[in-house]
Amino acid sequence: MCGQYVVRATVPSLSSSESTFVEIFPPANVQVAIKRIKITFPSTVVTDVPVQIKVYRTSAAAGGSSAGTAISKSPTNATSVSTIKVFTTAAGTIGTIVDKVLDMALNSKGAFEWIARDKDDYLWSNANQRLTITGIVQSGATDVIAEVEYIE
Amino acid sequence: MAQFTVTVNATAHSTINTEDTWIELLPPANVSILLKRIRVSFAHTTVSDVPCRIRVTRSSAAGATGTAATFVKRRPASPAAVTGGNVKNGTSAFTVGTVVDVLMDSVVNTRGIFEWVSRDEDDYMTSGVNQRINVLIKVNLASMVLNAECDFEE
Repeated sequence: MCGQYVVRATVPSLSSSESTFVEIFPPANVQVAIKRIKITFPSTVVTDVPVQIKVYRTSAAAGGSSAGTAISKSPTNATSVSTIKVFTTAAGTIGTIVDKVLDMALNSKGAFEWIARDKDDYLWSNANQRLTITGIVQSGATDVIAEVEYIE
Repeated sequence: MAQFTVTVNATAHSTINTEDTWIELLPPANVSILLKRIRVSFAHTTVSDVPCRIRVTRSSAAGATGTAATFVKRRPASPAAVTGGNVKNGTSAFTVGTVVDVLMDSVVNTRGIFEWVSRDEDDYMTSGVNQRINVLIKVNLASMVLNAECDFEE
Protein backbone atom coordinates (compact mmCIF):
# COMPACT_ATOMS: atom_id res chain seq x y z
CA MET A 1 0.00 0.00 0.00
CA CYS A 2 1.27 3.48 -0.93
CA GLY A 3 -0.65 5.42 1.67
CA GLN A 4 -3.90 7.00 2.67
CA TYR A 5 -5.51 9.88 0.81
CA VAL A 6 -8.39 12.35 1.22
CA VAL A 7 -10.65 13.54 -1.58
CA ARG A 8 -13.18 16.33 -1.04
CA ALA A 9 -16.11 17.50 -3.15
CA THR A 10 -18.27 20.52 -2.38
CA VAL A 11 -21.54 20.22 -4.27
CA PRO A 12 -23.87 23.24 -4.42
CA SER A 13 -27.64 22.78 -4.58
CA LEU A 14 -27.84 19.00 -4.69
CA SER A 15 -31.43 18.22 -5.60
CA SER A 16 -33.66 15.38 -6.76
CA SER A 17 -31.39 13.93 -9.49
CA GLU A 18 -28.89 11.39 -8.16
CA SER A 19 -25.46 12.89 -8.70
CA THR A 20 -21.91 11.61 -8.39
CA PHE A 21 -19.78 13.46 -5.82
CA VAL A 22 -16.50 11.57 -6.00
CA GLU A 23 -15.17 8.89 -8.34
CA ILE A 24 -11.95 6.96 -7.58
CA PHE A 25 -10.49 4.92 -10.47
CA PRO A 26 -7.30 2.96 -9.77
CA PRO A 27 -5.06 1.46 -12.46
CA ALA A 28 -5.90 -2.11 -13.50
CA ASN A 29 -3.21 -3.64 -11.28
CA VAL A 30 -4.07 -1.61 -8.19
CA GLN A 31 -6.88 -1.99 -5.64
CA VAL A 32 -8.16 0.88 -3.55
CA ALA A 33 -10.24 0.64 -0.39
CA ILE A 34 -12.40 3.34 1.18
CA LYS A 35 -11.90 3.63 4.94
CA ARG A 36 -13.98 6.68 5.82
CA ILE A 37 -16.79 8.76 4.33
CA LYS A 38 -18.07 11.98 5.82
CA ILE A 39 -21.11 13.93 4.65
CA THR A 40 -21.89 17.40 6.00
CA PHE A 41 -23.96 20.38 4.92
CA PRO A 42 -22.31 23.82 4.65
CA SER A 43 -25.35 25.88 3.61
CA THR A 44 -25.32 29.19 5.51
CA VAL A 45 -29.11 28.95 5.63
CA VAL A 46 -30.10 25.81 7.53
CA THR A 47 -31.96 23.26 5.43
CA ASP A 48 -34.17 20.43 6.69
CA VAL A 49 -34.27 17.87 3.88
CA PRO A 50 -33.64 14.11 3.56
CA VAL A 51 -30.46 13.22 1.66
CA GLN A 52 -29.65 9.71 0.45
CA ILE A 53 -26.01 8.67 0.04
CA LYS A 54 -24.82 5.61 -1.88
CA VAL A 55 -21.49 4.01 -2.72
CA TYR A 56 -21.23 1.91 -5.87
CA ARG A 57 -18.68 -0.04 -7.80
CA THR A 58 -19.11 1.16 -11.37
CA SER A 59 -17.70 -0.15 -14.64
CA ALA A 60 -17.94 3.09 -16.63
CA ALA A 61 -17.19 6.67 -15.75
CA ALA A 62 -19.70 9.18 -14.46
CA GLY A 63 -20.69 11.92 -16.89
CA GLY A 64 -19.38 15.43 -16.34
CA SER A 65 -16.17 15.91 -14.49
CA SER A 66 -13.73 18.09 -12.70
CA ALA A 67 -10.37 16.53 -12.02
CA GLY A 68 -9.97 16.04 -8.32
CA THR A 69 -7.01 16.09 -5.98
CA ALA A 70 -6.09 13.26 -3.64
CA ILE A 71 -4.39 14.80 -0.61
CA SER A 72 -1.95 12.51 1.12
CA LYS A 73 -2.56 12.08 4.85
CA SER A 74 1.19 11.93 5.30
CA PRO A 75 3.20 14.47 3.31
CA THR A 76 5.95 11.92 2.69
CA ASN A 77 3.66 9.43 0.93
CA ALA A 78 3.92 8.93 -2.82
CA THR A 79 1.30 10.66 -4.96
CA SER A 80 -1.85 8.61 -5.48
CA VAL A 81 -1.86 6.62 -8.74
CA SER A 82 -5.67 6.64 -8.98
CA THR A 83 -7.62 8.96 -11.26
CA ILE A 84 -9.85 11.15 -9.14
CA LYS A 85 -12.94 13.02 -10.23
CA VAL A 86 -14.95 15.39 -8.09
CA PHE A 87 -18.15 17.10 -9.14
CA THR A 88 -18.67 20.60 -7.93
CA THR A 89 -20.33 23.17 -10.13
CA ALA A 90 -21.92 20.50 -12.32
CA ALA A 91 -22.95 17.44 -10.36
CA GLY A 92 -21.97 14.30 -12.26
CA THR A 93 -24.31 11.66 -13.63
CA ILE A 94 -23.92 8.03 -12.54
CA GLY A 95 -21.65 5.58 -14.37
CA THR A 96 -22.60 1.96 -15.05
CA ILE A 97 -23.43 0.36 -11.71
CA VAL A 98 -22.02 -3.07 -10.85
CA ASP A 99 -22.58 -3.28 -7.07
CA LYS A 100 -24.09 -1.09 -4.40
CA VAL A 101 -21.95 -1.36 -1.27
CA LEU A 102 -23.54 1.33 0.90
CA ASP A 103 -27.00 2.96 0.95
CA MET A 104 -28.16 5.28 3.70
CA ALA A 105 -30.06 8.51 4.33
CA LEU A 106 -29.69 11.44 6.69
CA ASN A 107 -31.27 14.79 7.46
CA SER A 108 -29.40 17.89 6.35
CA LYS A 109 -29.55 19.23 9.90
CA GLY A 110 -27.13 16.46 10.84
CA ALA A 111 -23.86 14.93 9.69
CA PHE A 112 -22.86 11.41 8.78
CA GLU A 113 -19.59 9.59 9.09
CA TRP A 114 -18.96 5.97 8.07
CA ILE A 115 -15.70 4.47 9.31
CA ALA A 116 -14.44 0.99 8.44
CA ARG A 117 -14.38 -1.08 11.60
CA ASP A 118 -11.44 -3.22 10.45
CA LYS A 119 -9.69 -4.31 7.26
CA ASP A 120 -12.50 -6.72 6.37
CA ASP A 121 -14.88 -3.76 6.50
CA TYR A 122 -13.10 -1.65 3.88
CA LEU A 123 -15.03 -0.86 0.69
CA TRP A 124 -12.77 -2.45 -1.92
CA SER A 125 -12.61 -1.70 -5.62
CA ASN A 126 -12.57 -4.45 -8.22
CA ALA A 127 -10.35 -4.73 -11.31
CA ASN A 128 -11.12 -2.01 -13.87
CA GLN A 129 -13.88 -0.61 -11.67
CA ARG A 130 -14.41 2.70 -9.94
CA LEU A 131 -15.60 3.44 -6.43
CA THR A 132 -18.29 6.09 -6.75
CA ILE A 133 -20.02 8.12 -4.05
CA THR A 134 -23.39 9.62 -4.99
CA GLY A 135 -26.14 11.62 -3.37
CA ILE A 136 -29.72 12.69 -3.96
CA VAL A 137 -32.08 14.95 -2.05
CA GLN A 138 -35.50 13.37 -1.65
CA SER A 139 -37.23 16.74 -1.63
CA GLY A 140 -35.78 20.23 -1.74
CA ALA A 141 -32.11 21.08 -2.23
CA THR A 142 -29.02 21.59 -0.14
CA ASP A 143 -25.27 22.10 -0.43
CA VAL A 144 -23.09 19.12 0.46
CA ILE A 145 -19.46 18.54 1.41
CA ALA A 146 -18.40 14.93 0.81
CA GLU A 147 -15.02 13.74 2.10
CA VAL A 148 -13.69 10.30 1.27
CA GLU A 149 -10.52 8.68 2.60
CA TYR A 150 -9.00 5.71 0.84
CA ILE A 151 -5.87 3.61 0.74
CA GLU A 152 -4.13 2.17 -2.30
CA MET B 1 -13.75 -14.88 6.82
CA ALA B 2 -15.53 -13.01 4.06
CA GLN B 3 -17.70 -9.98 4.78
CA PHE B 4 -20.99 -9.16 3.06
CA THR B 5 -23.49 -6.30 3.00
CA VAL B 6 -27.26 -6.50 2.71
CA THR B 7 -29.16 -3.27 2.04
CA VAL B 8 -32.88 -2.72 1.71
CA ASN B 9 -34.86 0.40 0.89
CA ALA B 10 -38.54 -0.25 1.54
CA THR B 11 -41.71 1.13 3.08
CA ALA B 12 -42.76 0.65 6.68
CA HIS B 13 -46.04 -1.07 7.53
CA SER B 14 -49.18 0.70 6.39
CA THR B 15 -50.51 0.47 9.95
CA ILE B 16 -48.74 2.81 12.33
CA ASN B 17 -46.40 1.23 14.91
CA THR B 18 -46.62 -2.28 13.43
CA GLU B 19 -43.36 -4.23 13.47
CA ASP B 20 -42.10 -5.77 10.24
CA THR B 21 -39.06 -7.87 9.46
CA TRP B 22 -36.67 -5.88 7.29
CA ILE B 23 -33.74 -8.27 7.05
CA GLU B 24 -33.89 -12.01 7.78
CA LEU B 25 -30.64 -14.01 7.43
CA LEU B 26 -30.48 -17.82 7.56
CA PRO B 27 -27.08 -19.51 7.39
CA PRO B 28 -26.58 -23.24 6.76
CA ALA B 29 -26.65 -25.41 9.89
CA ASN B 30 -22.85 -25.62 10.08
CA VAL B 31 -22.20 -21.89 9.58
CA SER B 32 -22.44 -18.95 11.97
CA ILE B 33 -23.21 -15.40 10.90
CA LEU B 34 -21.33 -12.67 12.77
CA LEU B 35 -23.20 -9.36 12.59
CA LYS B 36 -20.70 -6.48 12.72
CA ARG B 37 -22.75 -3.41 11.78
CA ILE B 38 -26.39 -2.40 11.53
CA ARG B 39 -27.62 0.90 10.23
CA VAL B 40 -31.16 2.26 9.87
CA SER B 41 -31.74 5.60 8.18
CA PHE B 42 -34.72 7.54 6.86
CA ALA B 43 -35.04 8.30 3.16
CA HIS B 44 -38.66 9.42 3.34
CA THR B 45 -39.40 12.40 1.07
CA THR B 46 -41.08 14.30 3.90
CA VAL B 47 -38.95 14.98 6.95
CA SER B 48 -40.57 13.47 10.02
CA ASP B 49 -40.04 13.74 13.74
CA VAL B 50 -41.26 10.37 15.12
CA PRO B 51 -39.71 7.46 17.03
CA CYS B 52 -38.54 4.35 15.23
CA ARG B 53 -37.88 1.14 17.18
CA ILE B 54 -35.22 -1.27 15.94
CA ARG B 55 -34.74 -4.80 17.28
CA VAL B 56 -32.24 -7.48 16.37
CA THR B 57 -33.46 -10.99 17.18
CA ARG B 58 -32.72 -14.66 16.70
CA SER B 59 -35.76 -16.57 15.50
CA SER B 60 -36.63 -20.24 15.02
CA ALA B 61 -39.14 -19.76 12.22
CA ALA B 62 -39.33 -17.45 9.26
CA GLY B 63 -41.50 -14.40 8.86
CA ALA B 64 -43.73 -13.94 5.79
CA THR B 65 -43.14 -12.75 3.14
CA GLY B 66 -39.97 -11.10 2.01
CA THR B 67 -38.00 -11.19 -1.20
CA ALA B 68 -34.61 -12.82 -1.73
CA ALA B 69 -31.76 -10.75 -0.32
CA THR B 70 -28.73 -9.74 -2.38
CA PHE B 71 -25.36 -10.18 -0.64
CA VAL B 72 -22.68 -7.77 -1.84
CA LYS B 73 -19.10 -8.85 -1.17
CA ARG B 74 -16.85 -6.39 0.56
CA ARG B 75 -13.88 -7.89 -1.29
CA PRO B 76 -14.87 -8.74 -4.86
CA ALA B 77 -12.50 -11.73 -4.88
CA SER B 78 -14.28 -13.39 -1.93
CA PRO B 79 -16.39 -16.49 -2.52
CA ALA B 80 -20.13 -16.02 -2.69
CA ALA B 81 -22.10 -16.04 0.56
CA VAL B 82 -23.51 -19.39 1.66
CA THR B 83 -26.05 -17.62 3.84
CA GLY B 84 -29.56 -17.18 2.49
CA GLY B 85 -32.23 -14.75 3.49
CA ASN B 86 -35.00 -12.38 2.65
CA VAL B 87 -35.56 -8.64 2.91
CA LYS B 88 -38.66 -6.49 3.02
CA ASN B 89 -40.15 -6.03 -0.41
CA GLY B 90 -41.41 -2.52 -1.11
CA THR B 91 -44.75 -1.92 0.59
CA SER B 92 -45.49 -5.60 1.26
CA ALA B 93 -45.74 -6.64 4.89
CA PHE B 94 -43.09 -9.06 6.21
CA THR B 95 -44.27 -10.53 9.48
CA VAL B 96 -42.04 -11.33 12.43
CA GLY B 97 -40.99 -14.98 12.82
CA THR B 98 -40.85 -16.90 16.10
CA VAL B 99 -38.51 -14.90 18.32
CA VAL B 100 -36.04 -16.85 20.46
CA ASP B 101 -33.68 -14.09 21.68
CA VAL B 102 -33.74 -10.30 21.53
CA LEU B 103 -30.14 -9.19 21.03
CA MET B 104 -30.75 -5.48 20.70
CA ASP B 105 -33.70 -3.13 21.25
CA SER B 106 -33.22 0.58 20.51
CA VAL B 107 -35.22 3.63 19.47
CA VAL B 108 -34.15 6.58 17.32
CA ASN B 109 -35.89 9.76 16.14
CA THR B 110 -36.42 9.73 12.39
CA ARG B 111 -34.53 12.97 11.98
CA GLY B 112 -31.44 11.01 12.99
CA ILE B 113 -29.66 7.83 11.98
CA PHE B 114 -29.16 4.65 13.97
CA GLU B 115 -25.92 2.74 13.68
CA TRP B 116 -24.59 -0.11 15.82
CA VAL B 117 -21.01 -1.23 15.22
CA SER B 118 -19.42 -4.16 17.06
CA ARG B 119 -16.60 -2.98 19.23
CA ASP B 120 -14.56 -6.20 19.02
CA GLU B 121 -14.90 -9.86 18.14
CA ASP B 122 -16.69 -10.66 21.40
CA ASP B 123 -19.24 -8.01 20.56
CA TYR B 124 -20.50 -9.64 17.34
CA MET B 125 -24.16 -10.69 17.27
CA THR B 126 -23.97 -14.35 16.34
CA SER B 127 -26.61 -16.61 14.85
CA GLY B 128 -27.67 -19.86 16.53
CA VAL B 129 -27.86 -23.30 14.90
CA ASN B 130 -30.86 -23.50 12.56
CA GLN B 131 -31.85 -19.99 13.59
CA ARG B 132 -32.30 -16.77 11.69
CA ILE B 133 -30.90 -13.39 12.65
CA ASN B 134 -33.36 -10.58 11.97
CA VAL B 135 -33.56 -6.80 11.88
CA LEU B 136 -37.10 -5.78 12.90
CA ILE B 137 -38.41 -2.23 12.60
CA LYS B 138 -41.54 -0.37 13.55
CA VAL B 139 -42.08 3.38 13.20
CA ASN B 140 -44.65 5.83 14.44
CA LEU B 141 -45.56 6.89 10.90
CA ALA B 142 -47.42 4.65 8.49
CA SER B 143 -45.69 3.81 5.21
CA MET B 144 -42.49 5.68 5.93
CA VAL B 145 -39.60 4.94 3.56
CA LEU B 146 -36.55 3.57 5.38
CA ASN B 147 -33.11 2.19 4.57
CA ALA B 148 -31.83 -0.77 6.58
CA GLU B 149 -28.37 -2.25 6.13
CA CYS B 150 -26.32 -4.87 7.87
CA ASP B 151 -22.75 -6.08 7.43
CA PHE B 152 -21.79 -9.60 8.45
CA GLU B 153 -19.06 -12.17 8.21
CA GLU B 154 -19.55 -15.89 7.70
